[in-house]
Amino acid sequence: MSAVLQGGPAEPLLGVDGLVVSFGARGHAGRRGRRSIKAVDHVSFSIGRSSTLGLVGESGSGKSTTGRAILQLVAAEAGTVVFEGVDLGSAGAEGRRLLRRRAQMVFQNPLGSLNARLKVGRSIREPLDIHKIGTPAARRARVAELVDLVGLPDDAPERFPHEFSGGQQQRIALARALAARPSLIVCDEPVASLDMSIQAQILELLRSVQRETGVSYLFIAHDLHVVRKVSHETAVMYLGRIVEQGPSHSLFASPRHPYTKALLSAVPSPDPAVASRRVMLRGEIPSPMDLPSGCRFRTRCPSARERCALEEPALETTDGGVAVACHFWRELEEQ
Amino acid sequence: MTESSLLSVKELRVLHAGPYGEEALVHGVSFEVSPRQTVAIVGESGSGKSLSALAIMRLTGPGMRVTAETLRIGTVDVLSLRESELRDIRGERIAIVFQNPMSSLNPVLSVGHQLTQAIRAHERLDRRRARERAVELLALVEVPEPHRRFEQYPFELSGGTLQRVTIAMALSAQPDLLIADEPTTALDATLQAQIMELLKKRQGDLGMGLLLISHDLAVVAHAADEVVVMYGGRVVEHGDVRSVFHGPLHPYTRALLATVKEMSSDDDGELHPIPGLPPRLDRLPVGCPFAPRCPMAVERCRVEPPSLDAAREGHEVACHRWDE
Repeated sequence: MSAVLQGGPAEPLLGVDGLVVSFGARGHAGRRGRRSIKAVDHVSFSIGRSSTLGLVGESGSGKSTTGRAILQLVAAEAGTVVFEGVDLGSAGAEGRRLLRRRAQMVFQNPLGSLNARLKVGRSIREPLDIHKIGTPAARRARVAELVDLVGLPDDAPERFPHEFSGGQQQRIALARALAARPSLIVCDEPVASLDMSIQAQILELLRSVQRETGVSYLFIAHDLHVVRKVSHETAVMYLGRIVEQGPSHSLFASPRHPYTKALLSAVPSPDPAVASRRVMLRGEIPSPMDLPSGCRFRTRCPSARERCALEEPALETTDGGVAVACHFWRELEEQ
Repeated sequence: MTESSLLSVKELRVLHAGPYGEEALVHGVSFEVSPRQTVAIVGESGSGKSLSALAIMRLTGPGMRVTAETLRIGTVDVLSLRESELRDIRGERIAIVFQNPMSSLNPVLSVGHQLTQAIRAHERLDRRRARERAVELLALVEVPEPHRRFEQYPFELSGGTLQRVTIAMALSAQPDLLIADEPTTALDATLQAQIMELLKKRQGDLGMGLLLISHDLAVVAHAADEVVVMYGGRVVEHGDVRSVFHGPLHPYTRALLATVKEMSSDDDGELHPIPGLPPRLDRLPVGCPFAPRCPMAVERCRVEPPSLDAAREGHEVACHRWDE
């Protein structure tokens, strides 16, 4: 199916608007009783066809929950998700069928999505069996095609998952995700537990698969540089909110939100002669049960002022198509 | 061997019983660590770097045998020690911090309980004193609200705080040498930077030697004085950090550094990862372990493992063709 036949560039593949996900939580030792926390708080973005949105943030930012809510693996409390032109919230069972067939997920730990007792070929073929796609001979041919596409050895289908290294297991998980020709794959930290050289291999693979199949990715990761390698657009999350989002080339060329700047500065350069930058970010992400008033980042922000405690900044569009949620981004830029 | 070295390792080997007799998993690793010095062993999963670190403390699992020409902590010959003598060395002279803090903490005991236990294993202190010392240690590793954390259980704390607690336990007996095995790998970049800064600060205060095991070359670039690069159970390159990072000699180190530079750039340029996979330690090729993936490999590389020889002042490489 070509992208042109399905709505064209004007209509995004995935549109997320005002997504909210809450979890019930118990207060410390019953002091506060039962109440809910917002893990994802009014998140909006869209992903075009054959395109990648990188969602980045620290542990606890709500990035994985966002991905899961889009695939309806956790329930959303509010907001709309439109996928392939269908409003999933109102489409009910039909929407779920569409999702199951056209959207897939790849996790950090590939073994979590592979049955250890099934040969790799069976695991890759399973989505075709479930969705009754093609004849048995066509399914076998498709498995061979996928094995080749993700760069696995020809005899891989006859072997078991444990016989493969972590990087190769991730290739198997990707082949399985691609089997039913989805239009969207949510990749949740797909390279976080791999060695650097294997990370580079998998990122290159994700890009070549996109070129060949036109699949889109929602790419979730905590490592900004990894996100930069595969994402056309990037959204930075902090405590359930997007604090900066826009085209990757503009966002990385001149990050505006103090959190994005701090994240970038935290990554050391692989050159011992380049002085390591000062640690800009102290402490850890606060608990979502005790959200700071005003701007959520203010407790760790090196540039926080009084207004930041009083008023929550809204996402404001700047030049280069980048939106930023900071009261003082313009002033900070001039410094 | 210099007089002042805390740790002297020469020709360290780890052997295990394979189906065709004893096989080496780690083939002759040599280096020294002095007070205040940081030596990093870098390599990918399965390179033998963690196994070498465990072998130094004689913590390798059953079925494995450690041999060495020299394995000395200070003036103590580690290989001649009995198990009871080893226990005195571990913790007091040499301590270790692992990647996953939960692997060294007991989930059903409070942080304070475990910390005071560690303190009283080495020092004769009453409970009250031990408690004071534990809270001091928590403050030393920059745990916020140390009195409150003392009472809490591991599941109540974040990954970053737990790693600080295991560092506090490792520092409790003021060891001469700290081995840190991927101490920041499981953490976000912002916490990585904080933990590495903390380790370097405490290293300075206590004058410890630090043996850092890591796959992350960017972390190593800033933390280490000296680098040992391992591949397939062998040291392929060893030298001063600047010499290795600015003038890598082994094709593996060169390729790995090129990948790391591409990965850490702020653009989306094409990546050129090393093709193929590292070998398994129990299925090593006959010659140079890197030969099957090496663009420089010739026939000789496939039959004869190269020895580690001095190439420049303070810089050794194991490659038949490094100067070509």
